[in-house]
Amino acid sequence: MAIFTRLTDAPPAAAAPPAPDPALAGGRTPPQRPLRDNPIFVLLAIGLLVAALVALVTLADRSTGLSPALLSEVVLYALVAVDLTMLGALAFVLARNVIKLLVERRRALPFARFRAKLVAAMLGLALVPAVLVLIVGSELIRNSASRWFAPPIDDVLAAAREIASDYYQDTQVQTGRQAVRLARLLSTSGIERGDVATIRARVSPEVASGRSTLVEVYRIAPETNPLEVIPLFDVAAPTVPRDVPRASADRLAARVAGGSADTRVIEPLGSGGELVRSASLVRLPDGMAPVGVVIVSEHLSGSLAQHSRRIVEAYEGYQQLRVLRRPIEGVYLSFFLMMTLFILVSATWLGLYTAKRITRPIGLLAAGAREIGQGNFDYRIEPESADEFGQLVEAFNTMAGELEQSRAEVQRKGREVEGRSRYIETILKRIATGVISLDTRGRINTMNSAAARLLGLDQSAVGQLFDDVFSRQDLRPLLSIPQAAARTRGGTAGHEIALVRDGRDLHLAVAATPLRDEGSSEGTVLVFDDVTPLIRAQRVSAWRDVARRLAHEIKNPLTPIQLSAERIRRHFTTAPPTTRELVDECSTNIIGAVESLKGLVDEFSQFARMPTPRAVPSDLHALLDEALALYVGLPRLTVVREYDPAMPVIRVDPEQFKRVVINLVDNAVEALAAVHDGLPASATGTISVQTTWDEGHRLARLVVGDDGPGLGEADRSKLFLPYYSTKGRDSGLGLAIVRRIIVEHGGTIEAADRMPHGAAFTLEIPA
Amino acid sequence: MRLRVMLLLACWLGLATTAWADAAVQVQTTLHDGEVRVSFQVTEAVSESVRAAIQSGLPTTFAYDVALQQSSRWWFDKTIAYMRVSAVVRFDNLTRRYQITFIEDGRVEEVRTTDDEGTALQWLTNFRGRRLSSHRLVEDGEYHVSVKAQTRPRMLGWAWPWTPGAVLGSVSFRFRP
Repeated sequence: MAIFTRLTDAPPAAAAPPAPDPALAGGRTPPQRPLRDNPIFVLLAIGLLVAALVALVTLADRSTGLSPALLSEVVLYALVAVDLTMLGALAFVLARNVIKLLVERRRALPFARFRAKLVAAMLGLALVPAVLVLIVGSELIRNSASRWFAPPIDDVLAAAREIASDYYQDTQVQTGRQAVRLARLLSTSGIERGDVATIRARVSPEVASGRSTLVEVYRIAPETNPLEVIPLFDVAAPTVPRDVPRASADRLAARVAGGSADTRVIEPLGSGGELVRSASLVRLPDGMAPVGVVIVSEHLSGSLAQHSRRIVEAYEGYQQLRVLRRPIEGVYLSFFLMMTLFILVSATWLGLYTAKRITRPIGLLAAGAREIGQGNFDYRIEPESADEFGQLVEAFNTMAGELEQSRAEVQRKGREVEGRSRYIETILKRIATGVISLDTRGRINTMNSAAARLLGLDQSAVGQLFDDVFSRQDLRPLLSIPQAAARTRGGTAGHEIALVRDGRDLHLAVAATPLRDEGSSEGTVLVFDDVTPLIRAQRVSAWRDVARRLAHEIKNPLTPIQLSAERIRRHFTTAPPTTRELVDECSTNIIGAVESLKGLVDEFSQFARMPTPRAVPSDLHALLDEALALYVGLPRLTVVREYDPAMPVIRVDPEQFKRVVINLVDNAVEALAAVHDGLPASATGTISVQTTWDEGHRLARLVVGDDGPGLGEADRSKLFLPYYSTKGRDSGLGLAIVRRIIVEHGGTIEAADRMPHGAAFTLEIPA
Repeated sequence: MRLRVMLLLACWLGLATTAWADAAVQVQTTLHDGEVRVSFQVTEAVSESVRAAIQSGLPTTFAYDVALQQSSRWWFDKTIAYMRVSAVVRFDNLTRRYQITFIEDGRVEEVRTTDDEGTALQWLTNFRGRRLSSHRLVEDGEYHVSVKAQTRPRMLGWAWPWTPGAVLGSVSFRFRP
């Protein structure tokens, strides 16, 4: 009971495991959240995307100001590449999700249809307005571009450019004509000699008269290659700024002297005006080699030049815009297309993201439920948000924790029950009481080893019907026990049944109890107790009591009888001889009978008052030899000794043990003598005395056998009872005394027939 | 069928937006003292769009990639010499003059001006006796000179900017000193 108390009283708090950390616990790690679901990452990506869009908007806004090469070679390419990339991304995302949907539907995965519907809804909501914006925006751009090049603007700009250009053209023609005229005028001015006075005289009036505003004369150095020009003279009108550089005039003169047909140049001035220069070669009157160069320049005021340039710039800008119309349109349309694709990709991604945000926690919960269902109670889900889904996940984790604690409690109790069951099994296995349980159909459910040993069964009987097993001849007295138990209606049926097994009497106390639980029958349990030793002891005790009473009751009157008989014999010593002889004979008979009765009573007393053995370590073989020495000299008797040399020292009472041996050998001698006249001297045969040492059981085994007539089947069960004798002339206490001595030494004695004839007594004494 | 229609449409778009749709490059080579000199001329070089670009005052570049390659039977042709010649024309709408800057391998070689559009276009598309290589050629070796001509900026639409905008011309010769 102590062990049961200890098991059941174990403190539950100690067995309960601590609540695990939801984030860390788990035999299996729950799936980690991917990077793309990280809110920071998503916000960063959206920020980058918005920045890129702003950059593109800015770029598109400044597209007209970009260089044409950059616009048509870089910007347009980049935008179309981005468009194609986004188109590819959209196609990829859609195709991937369609394929995933098909695969998930085939695998019957949860939420696949929901995800597809959500993405389709988001895409559908975004597709219509986005495509409408694209179409309307494209048309708007095309119409706007067409309006840029409306005829009035075109005509005005072209006309203005024509006016400005014609003015410059006319100025150039006039300066060119004036240069040719002056070159002709200077052909005889001695320019080849450097006659500056003559040149001045001919040129100055031209400037003074206002036909030219600036005239520069150069002399060509003869015999130089390439020809070099040397400035000789220049004259300018007061309207010409003073900061007119000579370099361009020098280069023009040199170029014209070198034979170039390009005789005109327009030179911008620092003051904002321009000089329209024209050059002409000065040749001698004979028309031979040139000797000089004259440059006539017309000064254009700053405002005139500036306005003319503005007109031309406006015209060129307008024309360049017309030329670049298609790339610019392409930029805008690409931008619109990019925005449309961006909206579609964003809608698709947003649909997927939203679907995932919704379905992922539910999917995690479903996976967690599957894990819990498979017994993985320490599985936890990492909360990914603090919203309702996060609370749901927290609730799931709490539930899983409680389940884990409950499972631990159940396991602890299971272990307790298992330990208790093992304990009961061990008890049933070890106890000497046999226990058999039957189910409601009468089949043997369990049978402990004691029952198997007592009844001579093996474990193959488990599972068989009780009636089949116990229909064996020697077990038939037990057949009616279960029915008797059933008749008790919940009580216990007790029986004492005697069986004969292997020639031995077996007394069993059988208790049969029906098993009932809440009124329904669950079978029967049979308990067998071997009460054979108890019955034997009771019998011995009864016989000892009888012997003591007999000795007391018989011995008391014997002495007066004997004394009376002796007194009578003494009284009749003087009587006549016939009388005296009669008295002597009678008294002698009386005294003899009294002596005989005294001997009988002494044996009874000895049996009843047998002392407690005083066991000391003894040499068994030496004791045997001492006892067997009494039988040396019997002419037709052979005593064979077979001693086990491994026999150790045994703790026995030497005197009592020798008495055991003598009684057994006496019994054998009498059995051998019974064949002839019954006298010990006529005993003929062989008596074997054999010892063996059983190391496993620590037992000394002694077998005393003879080749006499053997034991009768009926006698075998009564051999060891007091006052039972098959010979009719002794007290019948020899084997009873043997048995008592052996039992008091803690041993056993068995009697059996030997083949082909004879008897053997086997003693087992613990060391 | 649908794919074929789309491919044809793309080709049409590409051809329609090509500046030099009908242009061709005629190439001639001369060998003198081991030097390879190249003359090339682009016929039908200036389309209306290019002409409009020039007339708008937009600096327009006529770029020519000239390469001398030795033929190889088993491998790619080996490039022996390469030259990039560019002519950038800028039309001044005020003075109605064309200013053409010749650039060879990144160096400005010459600047010319003219009032005549025909002259300007001839200067832009006709190059004579350009010294390409002074490498020693292998006797009886098979060579060819290729010229790839293209204009910038490319006046392309938005539908498909990757339209081939270059015109190719080549001539082969066997070197026999």
